[in-house]
Amino acid sequence: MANDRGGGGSRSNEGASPLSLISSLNRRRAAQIIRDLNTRSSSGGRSNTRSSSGRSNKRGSSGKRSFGAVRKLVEERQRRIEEGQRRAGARAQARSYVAMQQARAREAQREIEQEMLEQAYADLRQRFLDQFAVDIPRPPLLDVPSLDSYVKPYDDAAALANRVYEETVPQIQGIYDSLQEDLAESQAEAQRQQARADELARQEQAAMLQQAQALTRPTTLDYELGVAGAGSLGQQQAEADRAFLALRAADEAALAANLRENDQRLAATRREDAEAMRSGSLAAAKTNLDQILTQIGLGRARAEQQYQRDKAQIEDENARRLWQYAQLVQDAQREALAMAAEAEQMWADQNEAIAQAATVSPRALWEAALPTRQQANPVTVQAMVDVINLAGEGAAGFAEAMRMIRDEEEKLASGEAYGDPVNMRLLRKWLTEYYDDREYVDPTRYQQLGGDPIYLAVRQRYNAQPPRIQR
Amino acid sequence: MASYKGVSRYSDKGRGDLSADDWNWLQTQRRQIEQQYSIGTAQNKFQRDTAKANYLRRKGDLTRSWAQRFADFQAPYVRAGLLNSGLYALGRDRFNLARNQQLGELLADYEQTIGALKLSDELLASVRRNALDDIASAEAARRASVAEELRRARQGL
Repeated sequence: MANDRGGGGSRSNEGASPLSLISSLNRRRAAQIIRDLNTRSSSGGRSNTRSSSGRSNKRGSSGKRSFGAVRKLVEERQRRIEEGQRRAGARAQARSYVAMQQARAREAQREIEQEMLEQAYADLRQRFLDQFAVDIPRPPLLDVPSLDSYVKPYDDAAALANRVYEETVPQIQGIYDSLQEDLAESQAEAQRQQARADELARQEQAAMLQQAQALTRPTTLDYELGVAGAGSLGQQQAEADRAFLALRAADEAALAANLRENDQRLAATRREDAEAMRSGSLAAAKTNLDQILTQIGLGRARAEQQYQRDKAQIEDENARRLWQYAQLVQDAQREALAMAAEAEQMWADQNEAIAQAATVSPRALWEAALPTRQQANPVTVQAMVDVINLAGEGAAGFAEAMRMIRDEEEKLASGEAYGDPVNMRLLRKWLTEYYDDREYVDPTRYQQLGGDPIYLAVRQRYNAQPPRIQR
Repeated sequence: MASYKGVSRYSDKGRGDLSADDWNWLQTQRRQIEQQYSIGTAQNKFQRDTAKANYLRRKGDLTRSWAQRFADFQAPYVRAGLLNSGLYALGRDRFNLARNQQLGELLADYEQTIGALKLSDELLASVRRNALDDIASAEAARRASVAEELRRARQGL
């Protein structure tokens, strides 16, 4: 083993600076030291066992015990070893199970923390966006008027025209009914007058005949003298007078009849005229109604066309306003996005500067804590300093450091260590820290400097390349 | 319907939808016709009465005149004692014929006058009736026209 370690040391000796204590130590060699230390630590049980057997051999070689006793001792020791191995296996199994459970719990916890972190980071970015969001009022849109509002006046006018026509028709009918009644009444009155005139004429005629007969009536003496009677001159004159009167009466009756016939003809003509006027008025009203309805229909068609034009214009105007609104919103969003991205960049730069200021390395921490540790563990600190110094001196120094550590371990294992021995566990930890070339941000320091913990978490989560607001 | 039936013909209530001008013109026409008819019938009545009075007066005169002339005609026959003769009968027959002829002519004149007046009455009545019927027709036509105008005005056209 020593040769192996020495071979390892000689292989890793190239390029090492022997003078520097801290900074010049070859990293590979340091890593080799740590690996060897860990290997030795894990194989310490076997070493002890061998040491024990060695001691047992020493004791056996003293020759003071019998072979049977030695054999019993060996068997006893073998049994104890097997028992120890069995217990160690059970413990290892238990440790493995616990470690697995703990790993699962840690994994779950890590996932929860990552979700919370991503949510917090998303909320932060949303706050940046909200900070610059501008609320652009939606433009008022014009109402599209209803078709009814355009055509209703025409429909109303048509309904009114029809209603007025329906009301006018009976009115005209009534007017001409009244005229016909008047004409009929006039005719009845004429007939009554004619009847009275006929009666008067008859009485007059009778009176005239009476007068004429009185004039020509023969006296008693006439009868005595024989001058009265048929064929007499008086009789002849009386007959002539009666004939004349009858002729005159006939003439008058003919004239009157002619007049009345003419009147009746006129009356009939007048009735026919009244009927013609009635039908003419009704036809004119109907024609006029039809003309009006035609005009209304034309106006209604024009109104419908106007409605279509207005509707198209209003819809165009609304579309234009919406487009303009969309442009404004898009511009505002773009500008808000740019400002949010800039603000986020400023936030990130500021926190990155703080993080740089709060960045620490394990080696620096170890060096900072050296005075305190020297007081608490001076022996271990001295061993640490010796290892570092030796490791910095090249292959020989490195081998010497390994030897020194091995001696210390053997001292501890054999119980020969006394006083204040080197704390090997602490030494391994310190060496691990010392040769750890990583750097990390100290969270406490970072918060003391006023850094945003979200940035730090995001920086660690995304390896300093977090998703940013895209302009 | 604004009917004017049942209302006095000359009452303004019968005007209805007619304008004041139209109504006044129609009523004036009616009044003129009625006035002409009244005047005509009054004149006829006066002439009829006058003719009758003339006839009666002239008939009385002629009756009295012929009575006197009969006494003058009979006196010679009385003096000659020929009252029961054929000669007297012939003379008296001729006397009566002349008298009756004169009275008959008077009666015929009177009757002719009366007949003419009767015809005139009938003519006046006919003219009045025809004129009133014409006016009624004109009024109906005007009312129908006004109804049409009102209809157009009511429908706002």
